[in-house]
Amino acid sequence: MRSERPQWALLALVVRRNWRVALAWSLAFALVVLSTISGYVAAYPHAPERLRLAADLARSGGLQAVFGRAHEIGTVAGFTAWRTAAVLPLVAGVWGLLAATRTLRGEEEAGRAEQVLAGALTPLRAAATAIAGLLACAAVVWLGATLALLLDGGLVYGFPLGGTLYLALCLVLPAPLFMAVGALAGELAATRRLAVTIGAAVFGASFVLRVAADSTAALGWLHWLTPLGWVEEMRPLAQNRAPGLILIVLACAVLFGAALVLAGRRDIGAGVLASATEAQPALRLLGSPTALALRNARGGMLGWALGLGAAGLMFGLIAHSVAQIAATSSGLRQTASRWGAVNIATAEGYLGLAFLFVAVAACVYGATQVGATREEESSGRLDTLLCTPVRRSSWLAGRLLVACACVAAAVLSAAVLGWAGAAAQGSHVPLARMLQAALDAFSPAVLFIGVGTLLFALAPRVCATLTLGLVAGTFLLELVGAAVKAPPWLLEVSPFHHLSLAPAAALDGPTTVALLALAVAAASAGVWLFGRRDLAGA
Amino acid sequence: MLVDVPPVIRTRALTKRFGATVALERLDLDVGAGEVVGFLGPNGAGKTTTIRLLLGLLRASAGSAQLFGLDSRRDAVAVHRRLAYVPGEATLWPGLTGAETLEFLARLHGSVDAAYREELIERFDFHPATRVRAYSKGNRQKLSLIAALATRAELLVLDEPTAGLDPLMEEVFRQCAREAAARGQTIFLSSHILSEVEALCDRVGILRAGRLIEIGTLGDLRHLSAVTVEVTFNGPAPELAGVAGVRAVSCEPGRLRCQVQGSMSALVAALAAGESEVVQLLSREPSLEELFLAHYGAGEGRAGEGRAGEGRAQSSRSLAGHAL
Repeated sequence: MRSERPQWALLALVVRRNWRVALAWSLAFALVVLSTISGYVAAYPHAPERLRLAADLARSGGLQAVFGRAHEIGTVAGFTAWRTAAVLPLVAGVWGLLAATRTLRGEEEAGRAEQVLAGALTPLRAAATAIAGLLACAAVVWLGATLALLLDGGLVYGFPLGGTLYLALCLVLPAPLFMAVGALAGELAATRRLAVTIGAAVFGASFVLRVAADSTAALGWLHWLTPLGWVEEMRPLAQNRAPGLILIVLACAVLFGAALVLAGRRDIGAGVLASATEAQPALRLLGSPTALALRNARGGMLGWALGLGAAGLMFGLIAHSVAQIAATSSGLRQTASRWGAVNIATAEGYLGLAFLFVAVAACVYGATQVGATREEESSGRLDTLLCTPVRRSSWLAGRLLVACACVAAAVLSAAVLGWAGAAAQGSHVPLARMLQAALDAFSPAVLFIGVGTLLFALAPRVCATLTLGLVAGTFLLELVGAAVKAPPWLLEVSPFHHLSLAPAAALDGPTTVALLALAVAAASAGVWLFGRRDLAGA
Repeated sequence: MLVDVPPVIRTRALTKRFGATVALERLDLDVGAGEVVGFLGPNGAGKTTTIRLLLGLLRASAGSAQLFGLDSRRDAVAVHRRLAYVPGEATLWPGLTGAETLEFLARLHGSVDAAYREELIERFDFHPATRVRAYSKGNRQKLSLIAALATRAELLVLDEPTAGLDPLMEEVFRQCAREAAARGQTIFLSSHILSEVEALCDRVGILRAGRLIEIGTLGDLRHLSAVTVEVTFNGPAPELAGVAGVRAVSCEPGRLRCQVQGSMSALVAALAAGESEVVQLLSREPSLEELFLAHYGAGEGRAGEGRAGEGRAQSSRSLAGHAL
C-alpha cells in the first residue's frame, strides 16, 4: 500500500496523542467560564454592589498586579473578561508549552521521530505537520471556551458577539504562542527536559514582567515587552484592541518559522545548542536506588517548589487586598462560604481558600510521581535494578519516600513564601498556621500517592492515568458536588472535602491523621501486591 | 549417588503463561557450576521469558526455578548477590554518565573488582565520561557487559549480550567470556547468533515456541542428527533408494550427496555392492546452523512436531546423564 499523503498519518498521530488532554482543557475552560459568570451574578446581583466592587478593585494594587488590569469591571461581561483572562491564558500557555516540547522534542528524544523521518517525510515537513496537529488541538480548547461564552454569556447575559469571540481568542491564544516557544526551544535543546526548562524560563519571565507592568501605572509600558502583556492588551469585551493580537500573531509566525528553518537544517537527535554529552562523574546520590531516584527527581522538585512557591507568594501578596474587598461584599463572602466555614474577609480566610489550589497542585504532583515510578518499570530500568540484590519492597518504599519528599518540598515552599508575601503586605498570618496549611495540602497528595501505588501494583499500565483521573475526578466532585446536591456520602469520598482550609482554620488533627493512615495502608497494600506480580514492560 | 552441591540453575516443569499464550512450557533444565550453556531460539521462542523467570522478575505459572539451590523468586535478593545480568537491550538512566552508571551498579551489587573494571573499560574501548543518552546501542551494551563482568559473579546471565556490538567487540566479549569460564564462573547465554554459541558453549539448548526441543553438547546434538555425505564415483549413479538411514539424495554426473542418520554401514554396503568405483567418500558433521535450520526450517508440519517429541525424550536423557 502506498500512501499518497504521509503527512496525514503523522497529523493523525499527533492529534491522537494530544486530543484527550485538549478535550479535558476544553471542558475545564468552559467550566471556568460558566462558574465565573454564575459566581459573579450570585455574589453581586445588583448594580450598586458591582460598582462598589469595581471601586474596591481599582484601589487594590496587589490584586490587579496578579490578575491583570481591570477595565470594565462593573458589568458581567467586563468582570468575566477580567477574571477568566487572569487565569486561563496562563493555563493555555503552560499546556501549549508542554504539549509542543513533548510532541516535537520528546518524540525525537525517544527515537520514535527517526522512524517517521526514515519514511517519506522530510524533517521540515514532519515538523510543520506536527505543529499543525498541535494547533488543531489548541482549536479544541478554543471551541470549549467559545461555546461556553456564547451560550451563557452571549445568549443569557447579552455579551456583544464580537467581544465575546475576541475574549475566547484571548483566553486560548497563549497556547499556540507558547507552542511556538516550545517548538523553538525543542529545536535549540537536544533533550525535552532542557526544552521545557528554556520554555518555562521564557514563560516565567513573561509573567514576572506582566505583573511588574500591572503593579504601577508608571511601568505600564512593560506590557509591550512580554507576550502575556500582549494578551492582556487585547482587552476583550472592553476596548477590543488590535495591537496585542497583531504582536501575538507575528510572534507565532516568527517563532514557528524559526523552528521550521532549524528543523530543516539540523541533524536528527541533535539540538542547535551543543549539549554536554560528557561530564565529570558526580558520585553523590548513587548509593542506592532511593538515592538515585532522589537524584533524578531533583530537577522536577526544584521546578515545582519554585512554581508553587511563586503561587504562594502571589496569594500572600494579595491576601490583604482581597480580604478588604470581601469585607464590603456579602455576596463574595457567601460564595466563599460554599467551600467551608471560612471568613474570607480576613487574610487567613483568603489564604485558606487559596491553599485549596496548592493542595490540588500538590495532588497533581503526587500523581506525576506515580507516573515516574511506573516509567522506571516500563522503560526496563527496573529490570536492571531488581537483578541486583535490591528488594522489591525497599525499592518501591524508597521511591514513595522520594515522591513524598518532592510534594513536601513543593507545599513547604508555597507555605513559607505565602507567609512572607502576606507579611510583606502587613497581614500577620502566623508562620505556624502556614505550616499547618502545608500539611493540609500534603496529606491528600500523600493519599493519592498511596492509592496510586496500589494502582501501580494492580494495573501498572494504566496507573498513572488513573491516579491523575482520580485527582481530577474527586476535585470536580468537590467543586460541583454541593451545587448539584450530591448525596453527602459521595462528597465524603473526595479528600478535598476533608481539608481543614488552614490557615483559615486550625488544622483538623484527626482528619489529617486519618488521611495519612489511609495513605500508608494503601501504599503498604501496593508494596505487598507489587512483590507478587510480574514486572510489566511498556 | 551423592549430590552435595546443588546445581547453579535447576528448573523443574517451569511454565509461564500470559493469558492464553504459553510462553514457556514445562522446562526442565540443569546447569552445573562452571558450565557454559547456550540457549538458542528464534525471536519469541521464550528465551527472554526463561531468563526473566530465573531472575525472579516473572512469577512461574507452574513448576519451579532454583538458583544455587535457592528459590529464584522468594530468595531473589540472596540469589542476585551471586549473579550478574546483561539484558538484551540495556535501558539505563539517560542523565548519568557511563562512569556514574558503573559506580551505581557496582554499589547496588555490592562487590566489584575495580581493577578488572578498568581493564574491561580499556579492552572494550569504552568512554565512561559520556552521558548514557549520547551512547549508541553498542556502547550501552558494552556498559552493561562491563558492569556485569566486573562483579566477577558466580553466574553470568546474558540475554543476547552482543546485540549491537561490532565484530571486534564481539571478539573481545568472547575472550572475556572464555576467561570467566576458565575462572570457574557459570555462564547462561541466550542468543540467536549461532557462531557465538558454537564458539563459547559446552552445552546448547534449543527452544521453540516455548518448548525445549533439544539439549546437549554440540557433539551430542551432531551425533543425533544427520551427517552429510558426499560420494564421488566413476560410472552410473549408485542406487540408494530404500537404503536404511539415507535420505535427501541429490545426484549429478559423477557426484552424489545425501544425508545419513545413524549408522553408515548400510550406505557403505550399498556403495560397495554397486557397479561404480567409489573415488572419494567425504562426510561432514552438520554445523550448528544446519542443526538449527533443521529444527526451524520452513514447511515444518507434523514431522516437525514428531521431532519435537523426540527432542524432549533426548533432553531428558541428557539431563539424566548430567545428574549422574
